Amino acid sequence: MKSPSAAAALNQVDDASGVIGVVDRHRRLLSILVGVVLVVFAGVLLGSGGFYTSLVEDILIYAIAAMGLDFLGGYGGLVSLGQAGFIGLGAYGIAVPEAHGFGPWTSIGIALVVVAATAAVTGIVAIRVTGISFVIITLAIGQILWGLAYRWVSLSGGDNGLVISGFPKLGPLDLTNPQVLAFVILAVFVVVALVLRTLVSSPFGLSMLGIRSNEQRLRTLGYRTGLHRYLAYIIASIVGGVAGILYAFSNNLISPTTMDFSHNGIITLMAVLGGLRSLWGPVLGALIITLIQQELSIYVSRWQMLMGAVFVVVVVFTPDGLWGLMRQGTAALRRRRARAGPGDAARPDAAGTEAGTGQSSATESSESGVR
Amino acid sequence: MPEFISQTLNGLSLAGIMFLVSSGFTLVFGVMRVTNLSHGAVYLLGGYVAYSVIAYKGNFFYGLLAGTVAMAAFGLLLEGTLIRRMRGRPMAELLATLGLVYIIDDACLVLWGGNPLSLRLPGALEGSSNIPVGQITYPNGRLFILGVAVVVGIALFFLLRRTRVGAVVRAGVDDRNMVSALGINVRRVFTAVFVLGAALAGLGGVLGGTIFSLYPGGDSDILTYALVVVVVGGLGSYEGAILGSLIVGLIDNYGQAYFPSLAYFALFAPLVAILLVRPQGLLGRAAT
Amino acid sequence: MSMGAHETPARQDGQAALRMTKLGRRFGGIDAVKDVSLAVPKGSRFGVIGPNGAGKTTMFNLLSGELRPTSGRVELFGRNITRLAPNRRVALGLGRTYQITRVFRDLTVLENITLAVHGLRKSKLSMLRPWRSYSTAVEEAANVASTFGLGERLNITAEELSHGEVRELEVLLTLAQKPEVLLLDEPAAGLSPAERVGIRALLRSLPRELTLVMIEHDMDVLRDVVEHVAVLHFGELVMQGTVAEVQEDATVQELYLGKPKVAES
Ligand SMILES: Nc1ncnc2c1ncn2[C@@H]1O[C@H](COP(=O)(O)OP(=O)(O)OP(=O)(O)O)[C@@H](O)[C@H]1O
Ligand SMILES: [Mg+2]
Repeated sequence: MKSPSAAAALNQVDDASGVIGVVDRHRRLLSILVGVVLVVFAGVLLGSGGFYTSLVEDILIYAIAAMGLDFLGGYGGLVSLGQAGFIGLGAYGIAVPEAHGFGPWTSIGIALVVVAATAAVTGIVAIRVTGISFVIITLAIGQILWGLAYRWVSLSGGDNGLVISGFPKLGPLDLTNPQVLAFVILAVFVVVALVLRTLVSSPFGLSMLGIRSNEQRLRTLGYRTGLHRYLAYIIASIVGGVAGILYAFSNNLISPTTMDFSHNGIITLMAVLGGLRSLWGPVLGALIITLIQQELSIYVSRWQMLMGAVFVVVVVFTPDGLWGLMRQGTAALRRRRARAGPGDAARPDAAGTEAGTGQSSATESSESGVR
Repeated sequence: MPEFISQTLNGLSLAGIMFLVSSGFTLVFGVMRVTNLSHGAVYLLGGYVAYSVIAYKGNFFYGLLAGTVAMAAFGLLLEGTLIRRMRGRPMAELLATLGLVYIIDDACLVLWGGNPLSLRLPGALEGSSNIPVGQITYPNGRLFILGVAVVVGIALFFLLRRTRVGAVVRAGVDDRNMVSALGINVRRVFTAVFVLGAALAGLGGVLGGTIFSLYPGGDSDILTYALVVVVVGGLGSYEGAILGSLIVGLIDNYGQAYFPSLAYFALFAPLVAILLVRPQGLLGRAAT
Repeated sequence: MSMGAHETPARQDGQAALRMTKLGRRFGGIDAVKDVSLAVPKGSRFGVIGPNGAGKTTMFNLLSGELRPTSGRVELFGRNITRLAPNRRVALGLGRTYQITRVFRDLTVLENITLAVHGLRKSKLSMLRPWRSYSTAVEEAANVASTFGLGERLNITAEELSHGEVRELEVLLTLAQKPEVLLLDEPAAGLSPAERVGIRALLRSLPRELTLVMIEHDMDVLRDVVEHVAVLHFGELVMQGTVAEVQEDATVQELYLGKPKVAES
């Protein structure tokens, strides 16, 4: 039912963003470019082998987990303090079956099932509450998972943890080769990022924004918001589990420490420090905190204190994290530029290409859905 | 039977420590809507301070006093700087106190090292006494903890129920708008409650240090206990903290004594049950 | 207008769109709504007035399902919906707005209305494509906005809108779901006469076939839109009639003159 007034209305969309439309398009190009450069850079470091390989692998793995957390916390307003628990679950999901003689591929399948099932069960409890209580419950769930790993010695090896013995192999894709493993991790990171990007801009993602904004009203608009929160919790947990599977193969060892309170907190720190409600934010946060942890700790023995202090300062002064700060910065710059040159030559061009293609502008701005 | 009685007493003294820690947490949340995730770290710091003072002065009670007062002062500092800056942003407050955990923990690691430290009880408290009921011998130290918890519990109860200050605090829990409307200095009440909460955590740390010992990571263990207690009892409810401590303390202790392999689940069983049946907690109010 | 998303209940002509029978709700010892019996014919436009605390909003909550009545029943197109969950009532074509606006403040106008459009469809759970690529839904949302006056504000977040525009958005969220019966709770509350221009225009342009019940203190706004007025006082229906009849009624004048008309809190 494409009525003329609807088309007109959508053109309004274009007009509203017309001034900055072209800049926006360049920005999109820019952000794709930045993404590609980052991936290539990561690829080069990964290919180099040695210390930097494992550093980049850690960054990517934690970035995946933090992005999952952001999907739930940034978009749905449900900040979790139990994400490391699912990293651990994914990793033990590999280690335990392998210790019992299962092959690596079967173990991956088992890990995914265990993660999904655990998320489905704990989710029933977790979605009973929102806001602060949700943080507390997920913290408790994280502690349960940690406690299990720590005390179920016969299964988990207790404090010593378990060694990963088998690595999946599929034709040339041989994960015993560290180079190959590194690129597989990079590939999984890219795939997860794309999947989450699609998710957050989908109608379901929009409903998460609605839940964060005003859950009660969303309910009276016909949404079963509990179901939406439940699904989002499961998705975020599975993403954490995927990070855990990669962690297992990258680290060769899983012990309870990986999922203790401190590590649960660190993933939340990453997502918040970088900036919730943008998928780049958690990546940035994972980068910074992993660097502090592994690089700076060589020179500064009190890196934890430093990390805590940096985090507190960021939370106090920039509610939207570092990525939010950068966006504010560029937005201010754009406004200044727009004011300086109202006769921007690119403008008619913008109107020309965007007129009548409301949809293209729609996807255009959905780009900012990945805020 | 004697075994059961001494396990019950163990559970009660555990509940006593949980109560000291969780009542502070829940009061701060109830009055200020601040979720202080560094509450466990304050507990640990209080215990460590006591350890040093005891080592220096040779008297447990100086340590008890020092741990409590030092954490009260720390609370004053924290409230006056970080917390006040962030008023009205509950999630940011929660996250900032999470960052604080790493700072405090690391500081403790620098100052007191990574090995577990125990607080030794003085003289008579170190021994045991015969308890007429069931004819058992029971450590005085645990009875002391239980006694302190009961005294503090009753004192707080009267403070909250019977005094004007308490009325204000309770009104804050029940109806925040009314407090402001009454022209009461909300800011001062906030500061007082936060300081009280930190002092209780410090006191809990000193007493807890006599049973559990103090070690890096001990803060998250106690924080988990406190959080389970307040969720079970009802976030922000003082009576809920008492009830929750009793339930969680007893269940946890019986679990460890009789079903050691299930102990960890025993702790969380009441949590799960409550969330499914009554998400706002036993004595909590629906919707915050 | 009334096609599409909702299940259409069986109905006969001439039947009341909405019928309350001895509807009541007690809070503690107080009857917030007491023994209200009122039939709203299909396509009619009812105003509900009454002093502050008369029970108007409570009555709406009973109709929309956000509160359960302590007595009496509610029918929608002849179907008993007294105990039906709120989201089921929305699906049956009963929409409402709130006295205290409940829009999604940090989302744009387009996002706000699109959420509403998806609300009654399965697509609200879809995860595979950007919501902006669901062109029917987006166009529909844009269409609703432009028809009722927010067409130029699509990409503005709700918190950047003026008070009056937020009021309009509040109504649009519900209108986007194409309700057959619309309950408006003081749609102009808190607005100065100058700020009311937009919302009054919106109310005047509501589709004619819509059955409308509107709580409103402002007689001028009421006269714009409704034909009949029901008067609530202490939870009870004290009279109903045409706008003119009610305005001239002595008891009503007393009600409002005894306690001077309050614009709204
Ligand atoms: N959830 C509730 N619990 C207890 N009492 C309530 C509740 N909701 C409403 N009331 C009481 O019911 C009465 C009617 O309130 P209601 O909000 O329906 O009035 P109203 O006619 O909409 O008033 P206004 O013009 O101010 O909007 C009031 O006395 C109010 O205090
Ligand atoms: Mg009302």
